[in-house]
Amino acid sequence: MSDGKTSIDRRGFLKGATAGAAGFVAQSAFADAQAPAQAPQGGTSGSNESAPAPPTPAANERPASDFMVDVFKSLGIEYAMAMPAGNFAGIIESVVHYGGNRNPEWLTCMNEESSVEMAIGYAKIEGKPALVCAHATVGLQHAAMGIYDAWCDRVPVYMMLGNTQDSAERNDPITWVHSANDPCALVRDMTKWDDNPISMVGWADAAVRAYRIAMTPPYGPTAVVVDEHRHVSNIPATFRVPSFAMPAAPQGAIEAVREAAKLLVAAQNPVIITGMHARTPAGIALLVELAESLQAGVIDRKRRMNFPTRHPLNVGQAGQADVVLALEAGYITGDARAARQRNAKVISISTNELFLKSNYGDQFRFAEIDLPITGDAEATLPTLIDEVKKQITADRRRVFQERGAKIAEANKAAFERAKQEAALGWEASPISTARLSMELWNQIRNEDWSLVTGWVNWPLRLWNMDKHYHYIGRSGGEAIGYHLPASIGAALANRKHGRLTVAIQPDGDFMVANGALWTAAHHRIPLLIVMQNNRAYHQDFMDAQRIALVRNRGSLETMAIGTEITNPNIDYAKLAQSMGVAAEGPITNPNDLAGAIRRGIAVVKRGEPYLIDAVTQPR
Amino acid sequence: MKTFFSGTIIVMLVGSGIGDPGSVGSRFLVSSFIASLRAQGQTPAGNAENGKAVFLKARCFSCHGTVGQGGPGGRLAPKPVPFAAFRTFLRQGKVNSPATNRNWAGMPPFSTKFLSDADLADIYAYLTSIPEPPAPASIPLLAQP
Repeated sequence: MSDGKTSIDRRGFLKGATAGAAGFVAQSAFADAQAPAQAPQGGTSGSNESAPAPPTPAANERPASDFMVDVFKSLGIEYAMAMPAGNFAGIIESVVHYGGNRNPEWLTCMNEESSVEMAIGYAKIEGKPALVCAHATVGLQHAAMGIYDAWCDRVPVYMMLGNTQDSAERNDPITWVHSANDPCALVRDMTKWDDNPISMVGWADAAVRAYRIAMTPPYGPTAVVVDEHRHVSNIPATFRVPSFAMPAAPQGAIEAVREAAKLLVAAQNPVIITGMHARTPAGIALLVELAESLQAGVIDRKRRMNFPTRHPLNVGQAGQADVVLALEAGYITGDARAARQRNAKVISISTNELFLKSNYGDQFRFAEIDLPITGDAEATLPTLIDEVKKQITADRRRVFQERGAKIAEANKAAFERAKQEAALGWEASPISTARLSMELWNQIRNEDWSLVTGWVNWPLRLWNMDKHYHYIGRSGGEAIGYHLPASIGAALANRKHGRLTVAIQPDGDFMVANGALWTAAHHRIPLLIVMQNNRAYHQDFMDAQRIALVRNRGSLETMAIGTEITNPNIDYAKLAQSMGVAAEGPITNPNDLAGAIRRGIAVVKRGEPYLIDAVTQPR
Repeated sequence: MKTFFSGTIIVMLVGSGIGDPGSVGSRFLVSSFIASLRAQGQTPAGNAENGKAVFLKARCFSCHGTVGQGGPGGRLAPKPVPFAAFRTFLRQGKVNSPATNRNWAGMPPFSTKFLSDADLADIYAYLTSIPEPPAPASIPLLAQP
């Protein structure tokens, strides 16, 4: 993205930047004469036509963007994901030439939404944010949908946004339209925190604070504006990276937790509903311990991998519960209302009330909770488990065992029913999504695998999932354009662990940001993508068809206008191949899938992405 | 009025999700009602081959799958519900909000403008012709633990 500055503009900048650097000495809260001086690494090549040319650092100075890289390294940032823009070009240059392009390593993205979605996928696997850089005006507007996904999905994303803050430095029309006085206003309703620091001292403070806020539950995206001119200026070599420590996650108050334990132990039929309580792998083990202690059924709404799919207690009838425990469950309004009608009690442990933005509806309709406990559910579970164990008597334990046996039977029946339903349409063409899922499962089940898309439901019913990376949920904002880049970000995180990453990729979603495929090919990110190609914006077709039929107008042919992706059919294999991704298809015969998956896995195991275009049933 | 009520009951029972496990109570009601319709024995003859073509043209597969296996909409085959229930459900759709008489979700109504009675008979013949799936135990990918 070009800012189109002239050389005169850049020369004009040099004076101001030098004077600005001198001013930092007096401002610096972090200037530390005792700190070991890090040798300046020299200037940039200065050949970028769009970015301001940096001044040569004096002997006691260093490039500001090198300092920024030191801050990123101190935070443990492994990857930077960005579509390039001139107003943060100094960061790119410093990451590559000062930081050695490691920690962070720079990934070239082809749309800022993809950058953010990739960072979401990465964070869901790795449990920490990647750095996303974007142009604060024309890039941030692309990025907004991804940021909304991160917001709704409680995912930490750490963003640096390039802007020309000082109007005196906006020396041409393009820079003017590429600048904003308050860039983060665009996304303030969907970020936990943002800042627009003037100086590099202020930036260092903001950069560390933004990381800590993003990573304090409830997780979420944060953004810091980087000034185009300040970040390519020089700063005193004595600037040091702020130290920081992560705060403990907020826990529910002990009195309330004790009351919750009392209700749960006394209940005849308690049910646990979880949505995304497992922020870390420990969250799964903790819920297993609680469920087994109570012999309570679990309903996992799978916005994360919260509970093992094959666990005998992985089934529950919320409508028959006398006590419902909701753990970061998200939408529980209906459950709470139904519980109230049958005099059941509802307990909620959640950080929802720590999210204090009101514009968007991700807080859902008000739920009538009997015992709301504000605190991070995963952090609160150890205390709840202790309290439950303290209160269980021998009599209750006998009751629990009988209850657990019944739940296990229901779980077994549900599994058998799922297999019977999967058999329906087994030989159908287009390929049933059940068949596709099981063909894939058959070839990955003995690997260390990771499923990184969440649209098709069959894996949740039939695959044996028990690790946090076995499933990472869907997009938080439930919009399309998430799955492909998020899958690639998740695969990137899995790469260093040697996991076999697979994605079942919807076609409509794929077309929003398929440039992400090039990123996967370019950076050799191993990922097996199996298309769920139903050749339509399927949900929208159903909606449009329903309205036409209710209004009793149009024709069977015209109902598909605007929602089908046919005529011509898209050749996803060729599209992938054009970006350097090995691919095959379209495959319409289910008996051809196994061979394709075998070939795909072989390529992925060599460290590269592979795409199989499977033409499928609508769902 | 009698016809209206029977249709409404079908919509409420069957439309709540053919193929969904449902509660024991609702399954009993559905099966009882279906049994009463079977007793009426009013299944017209239809052309299964044409029925498949109409089923695809009307994009019934969009919700129910190309072989009626189900999806966002309920399972239709094998062993479809009796024709009378099928016809009523298809003509009236599923009224999700009786207070407002709106079809915001679930089965929409297909009037004769879109599907004739002969089309319905043919579609029904197609659904009836769809064989039982193999037992999961006979499918290696489903037989494994």
